[in-house]
Amino acid sequence: MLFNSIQFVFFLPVVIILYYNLPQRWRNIMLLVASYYFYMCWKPEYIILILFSTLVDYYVGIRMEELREQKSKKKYLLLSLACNLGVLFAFKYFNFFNESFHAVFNHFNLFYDVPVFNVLLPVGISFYTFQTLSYSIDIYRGQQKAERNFSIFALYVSFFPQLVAGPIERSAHLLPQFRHEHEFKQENIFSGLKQIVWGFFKKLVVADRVAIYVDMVYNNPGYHNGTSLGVATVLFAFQIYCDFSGYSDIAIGSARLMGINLMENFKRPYFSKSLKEFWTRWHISLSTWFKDYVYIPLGGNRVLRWRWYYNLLLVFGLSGLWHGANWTFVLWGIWHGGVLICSDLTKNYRAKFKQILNLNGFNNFKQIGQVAITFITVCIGWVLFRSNSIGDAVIIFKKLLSSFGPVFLEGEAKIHLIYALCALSVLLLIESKKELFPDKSWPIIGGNSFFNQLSYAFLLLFIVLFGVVDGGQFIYFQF
Amino acid sequence: MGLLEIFKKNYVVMNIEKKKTVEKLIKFFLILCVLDFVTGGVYQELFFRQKSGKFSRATYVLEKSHEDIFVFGSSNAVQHYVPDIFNKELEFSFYNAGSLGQGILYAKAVEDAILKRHKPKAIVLNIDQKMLHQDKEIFSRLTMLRPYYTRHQEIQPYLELTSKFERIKQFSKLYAFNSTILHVLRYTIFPQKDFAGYVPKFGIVNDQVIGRPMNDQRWQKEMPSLDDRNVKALDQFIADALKNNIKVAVVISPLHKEATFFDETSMQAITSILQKYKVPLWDYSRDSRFLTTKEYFNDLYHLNDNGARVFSEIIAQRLKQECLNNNTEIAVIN
Repeated sequence: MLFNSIQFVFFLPVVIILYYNLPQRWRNIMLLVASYYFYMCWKPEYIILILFSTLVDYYVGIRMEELREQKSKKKYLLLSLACNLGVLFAFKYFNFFNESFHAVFNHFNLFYDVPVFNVLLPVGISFYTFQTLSYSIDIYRGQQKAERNFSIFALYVSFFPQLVAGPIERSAHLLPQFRHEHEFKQENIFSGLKQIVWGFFKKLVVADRVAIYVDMVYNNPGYHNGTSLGVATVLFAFQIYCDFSGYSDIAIGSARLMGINLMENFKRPYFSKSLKEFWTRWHISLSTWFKDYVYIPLGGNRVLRWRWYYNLLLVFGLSGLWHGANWTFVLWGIWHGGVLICSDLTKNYRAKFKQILNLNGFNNFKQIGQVAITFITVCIGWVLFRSNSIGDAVIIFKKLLSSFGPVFLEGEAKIHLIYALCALSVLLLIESKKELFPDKSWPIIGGNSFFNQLSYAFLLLFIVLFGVVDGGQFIYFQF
Repeated sequence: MGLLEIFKKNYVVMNIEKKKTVEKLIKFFLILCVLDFVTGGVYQELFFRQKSGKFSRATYVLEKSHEDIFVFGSSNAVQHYVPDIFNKELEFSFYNAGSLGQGILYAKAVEDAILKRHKPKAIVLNIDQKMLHQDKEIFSRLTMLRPYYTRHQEIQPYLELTSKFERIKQFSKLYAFNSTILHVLRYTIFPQKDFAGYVPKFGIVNDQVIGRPMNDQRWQKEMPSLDDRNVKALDQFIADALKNNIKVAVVISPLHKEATFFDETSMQAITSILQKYKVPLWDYSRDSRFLTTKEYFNDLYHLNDNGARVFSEIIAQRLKQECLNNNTEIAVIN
């Protein structure tokens, strides 16, 4: 079931009403049934994969807790890793590696004939796999106690608001919330609903509208000039942000209606002043996952410099691969890792350069410049991320540097671009206010409950009038 | 204080909070409904007052048209049939009911709306070779009919193909006008001259565009398959016209270059339906008068005003001789 579907508009209130009218012992069962129903609306048979993952990690968790020796625990951890990553590999990466091997073998005129595994990618598999893995690893490390109540554990794996596109929650944060009885609080209902409405605005009014123009240009890069490709790239930056953070907002808001707090996943990343800061604001649940379970175990930055750089490239490369089975995603990850390495290598030179320029009195300009440079760096990465193939990415980069001309405005493109720019203006206004003046309330709306309600009613009508109401699914569903 | 008392107190407090929340939510919902009703009503007035543009043409065709001959189809219809020429050559009134980017489902919906209140003498259906293939875009473009959903029952089944919850969504008055505001503002502030549905193009295709291949890249990548709903709509379109003693001609417009189609199933299905009803197919896609004649084309697929006038003369003459001649026999469906 999609958040931006009419089914969800009926599904969510029913779940919330049931939730607050059931005794605590039935609430989790009801949420589990609702979560499985939510997932099965898409492709019922793939619930087997979630059940498999749930059973394996439930068993592994209890067994690891019972064992004292770390060596014995490791066997169970390996079992969990093999099962979860095995399923992920089979469904998401098998064909990718198979095709890559095929291309390499073909290049050397060698026979290679492993058939393609013809199967649809299960929605959200990367998200729930990582969530269950973090549970097993935490138990192995002794940081988490095994959950013995099966329904609570199953709910932790499949909690519907964050099941298919995150935030990827940690067991230490989410599991206790299922054990705790949440009282009905008006504050949760209203703050949750407000976040849901804001999420819908981002998704339907900004992301889906921008997507129409971006698709027109990016699906045919050969026909467009560098200016149009540049505009499409900047728009894609906002499309992917609004698509994914919009989903996160709806997920966090939906969970809050039940008194459950999910972690914040985005903190206005395009206001970052460096790439390092960007990764503390973008897809926080995934970046902290990679930091805690891959980067730090590899030694993080407390190793020799070359090894640290290797760690960065590996972690970002893996993060790219997590996003999709395509070399474009791997290159996107490597680009981010590479820029972080370059920024470390040039740290001293940049400090000297700043001293020479003596920009101390121009802090605002300096910050704007830093934000702009970071945004451009991120946009270069988005070219790789959005391109349909590496070949397309090469064409786009070449054109971005050489082929200038009028922006593509043929046919319906012009209309969609104007809609997109209007929506982006509203988004930037609201996000800038949140970033720059977080403590100040909006004039009139902020202080008066009636005007506040009225503003949200208008926002909803704005979504109905300007949103792409029959748009597609969320981009991150494919990851 | 005993546990039971604490529970009772909490329960009462919680109920008050629940009640207050429900009251607030109902109040908010009412505000939303009133705002939707008021803004939707005002917007509706503005929408149906448009004097030009695609919605104005659609409103005219669906609600007021009374012409003798109509042409249906997509951009090829809109840009290739000049009503003045048909009026002059045939001495019948003519309206171009084509709509950019639309397929046979749109044409069928509009035909149903017209037939409900008026019986034209002839219908020209401009098609292309891929018309019956599956195409998601066709369904998203059908949403152009949303503003007419509550006004025309006959178009409801077609619009419901775009979403099975269309009826529920239409409870919102504003929803029907989703994504139309820029169009409405543009044509309300800067109305354009209307040529009875015809939208002329005045440019001449440039050499860079001529150099591009004709084959549609998209169809090359995805193997197309027939969409049963399109097949059924074409069949029904012709059957309903013939049932009402309306003469039908099906036309394929000229192209600048010969195109290669990777899949002939759509064309085969079209031919078999036309044969079933003995309806003529006038194929101008390889007509030597147009092929490679740059002066007649705005791009590889669309004629400019010069080309459209030449083409309209040809079709008008042929309609006169083969369809509107009193001696011509037409198939009749019982």
